[in-house]
Amino acid sequence: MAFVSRGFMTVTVALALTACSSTTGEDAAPAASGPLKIGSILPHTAYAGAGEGLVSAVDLAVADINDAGGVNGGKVEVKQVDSTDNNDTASQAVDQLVTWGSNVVIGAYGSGMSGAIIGKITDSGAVQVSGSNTSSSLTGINKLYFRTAPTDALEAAKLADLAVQDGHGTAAIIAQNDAWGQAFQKSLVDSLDAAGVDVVAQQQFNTTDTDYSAQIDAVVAAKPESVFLLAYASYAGSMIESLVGTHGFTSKNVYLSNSTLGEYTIKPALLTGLRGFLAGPDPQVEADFETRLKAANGGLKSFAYAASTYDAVVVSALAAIAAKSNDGKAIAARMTEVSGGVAGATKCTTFKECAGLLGQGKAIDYDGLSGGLAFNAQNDVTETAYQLYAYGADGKYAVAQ
Amino acid sequence: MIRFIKGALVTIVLLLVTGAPALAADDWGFRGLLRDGQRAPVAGATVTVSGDGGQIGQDVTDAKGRWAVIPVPGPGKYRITIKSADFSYEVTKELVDSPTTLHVQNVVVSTSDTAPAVASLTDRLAQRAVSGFNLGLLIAIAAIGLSLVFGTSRFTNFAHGESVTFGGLTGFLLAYVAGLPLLLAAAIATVLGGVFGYAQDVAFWRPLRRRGVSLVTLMIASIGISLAIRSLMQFFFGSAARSMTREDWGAVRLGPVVLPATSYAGMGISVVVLIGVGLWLTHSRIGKATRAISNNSALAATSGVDVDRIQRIVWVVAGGLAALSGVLLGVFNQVSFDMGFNLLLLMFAGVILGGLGTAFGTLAGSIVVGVCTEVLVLWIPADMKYVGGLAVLVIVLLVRPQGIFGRRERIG
Repeated sequence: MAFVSRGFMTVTVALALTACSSTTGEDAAPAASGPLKIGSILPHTAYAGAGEGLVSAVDLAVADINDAGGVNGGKVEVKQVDSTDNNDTASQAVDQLVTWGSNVVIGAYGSGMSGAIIGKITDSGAVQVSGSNTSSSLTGINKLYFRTAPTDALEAAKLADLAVQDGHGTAAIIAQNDAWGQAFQKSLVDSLDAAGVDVVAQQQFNTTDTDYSAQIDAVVAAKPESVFLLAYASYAGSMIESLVGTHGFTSKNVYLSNSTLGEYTIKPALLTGLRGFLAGPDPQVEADFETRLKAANGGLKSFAYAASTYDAVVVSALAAIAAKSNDGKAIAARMTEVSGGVAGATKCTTFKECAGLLGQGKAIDYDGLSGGLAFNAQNDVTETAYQLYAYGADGKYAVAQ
Repeated sequence: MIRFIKGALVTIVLLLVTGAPALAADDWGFRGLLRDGQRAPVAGATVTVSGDGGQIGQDVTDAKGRWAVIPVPGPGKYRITIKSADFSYEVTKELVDSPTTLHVQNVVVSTSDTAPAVASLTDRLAQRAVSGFNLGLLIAIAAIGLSLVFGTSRFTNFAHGESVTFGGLTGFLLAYVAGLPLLLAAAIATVLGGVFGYAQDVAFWRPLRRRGVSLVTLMIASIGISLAIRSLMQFFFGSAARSMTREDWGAVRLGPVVLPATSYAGMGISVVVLIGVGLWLTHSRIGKATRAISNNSALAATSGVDVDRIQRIVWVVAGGLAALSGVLLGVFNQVSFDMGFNLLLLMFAGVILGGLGTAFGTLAGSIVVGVCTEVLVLWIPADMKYVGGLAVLVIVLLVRPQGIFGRRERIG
């Protein structure tokens, strides 16, 4: 039995390969007449359920597309596999999607995992679109890789802008000593330099340190007007406790990265006034979208990156319509165009509206739930909506009023 | 009024951020802030933005030193000139069309060099030294158990870090979840830590010792048990760090040194406990027997000391002290499933620096490691702080291979 299934696998893989090479040979011709197949590789339960909202967003987007008539004359098919938080497991899950014949793969959740599986997906000829990768190390990594989430570098620029707007001319940074933290720190230093803000202290910490008092003391000793915490929420609690609680640093002058915004067990009074940016739609659009997601999956708690994942599905479906083909490479070639990267196109905000315009032969500019998108030459979004969040007296963060 | 302005500013930021994507796409410009050397805003200065074709726009700084957005046609290099009665400044800034920069660049300019406001070296040294002493005491309490176990059974226990974590997690359950007073929770956690130590000895180590398993095998087994317990703790507790208690004791400022009151309390408890352990080792019968076994196990046994019983007692003491250290560390930092494991390397450093198997050496060694780790970060990057403490270890061992308190004849 095992032998049989392995043989079967080989045949399928061989078939997939031939199918792939035949479509690349004749790019313009509408590829295999099958339906558009959208696969997703997202964490279904890992990361404390942070990926559940993304999984529901993919389902919702596909339902919206099919309700509006599907793509290129057929209903879109969807297959969602669990990436877990382990790169090896994710890599095996990608094999399932490739064998299934995905034209578009949505995911992965984390930038590191995307980097690990990008080769497998794009080698199969599918286009990979992530709604949640923010590391600037992925910029321009592959012609078939797109993302609807903005890079950390843009967030760094926004944070620097906010600090100047608050009247600060000096800053200190505490950054997590890993690929994410270092890249973010570099972007932030560049942004602060460009704004003329003096960076008086830069401290990195290891997640395995027994305590972070050395970093906090060094930052406090430099007497900065503002402090930037680039740390995962699981490590930042004691830093905030020490900085705001013990050393009495004013909380509204502490700025947080998107990953630092989270739930804390420390006293709410210490959190009050801390601010940070999250990429996302404007509050009304977000609220409506969350209501729709909750209707589909009542247990959802986390909605971060759900809207941008919805957009990832919709924009790739629109690109398939514009390309009149479900082939991954043909879709990739039209992504920039339909997202608004070309001047003079008609703006539209829903799949139905955009597909209608495309049907009339018009050029479109899809402005999604998460912002205007508009992919650039490196396949990064250039029109992003950011929301400023602040912690209230209850220790929870909400859109700043 | 101030609140209104603040609110308005936030609104402006929000508008720029979210208002309309079109705005972000099409509008380019500069805005900024002018301050003097004392970080106070400078009002009434004229700000001019000019390009290759001459002046593009102008604004005057307001009472808060701010100048509003001066629009420019698009990306490119622009000259910003700021002039007031006694100050003139010019800077060239470039706007780049990139997804990683903003179209409106905010610029801070200072009218004179800001005096560096760094705390003095002595102040920083004092703060680091007290922090280091605190860390040293934490390491010492945890490491004395490790040292006693090694002394009485020559067994290097890599699972000792999990005894520390056990104390932290138990303290969290009692103080945070059950809401007991912190000191009571610490006391109960210490007792339960003793039980945990005893259970470990009964469950694994005594059976293995009885079967005559070699010390190296025991050591490897302890690494496995450490992994297993750590994974189990992660499974139940999760990987996030949490606060030990909801209590707030406030902060205490002694001259230049600021620490949470709980840290001073922790240091006090540590000193008392360490004195207690010292007196127990030097004056009580069991303590004397413990030291006798450390010196020469066979001789102690033939002199009528019940080695097995002493070893059991030592495991209880080691577990209790490790748990107490876990509670103190959890209060100082936060509670996480790998807090003890992260401390393990420093514990070993303290034990080896002091001289393997000598309780008082461990105390001295731990404090040296703690102070060196925390003080040397004034000169080396803080993310490399263990390098300082461990470099001291290597240097001392090169000069004194038996450690500070170790005796020469035990080597080799």
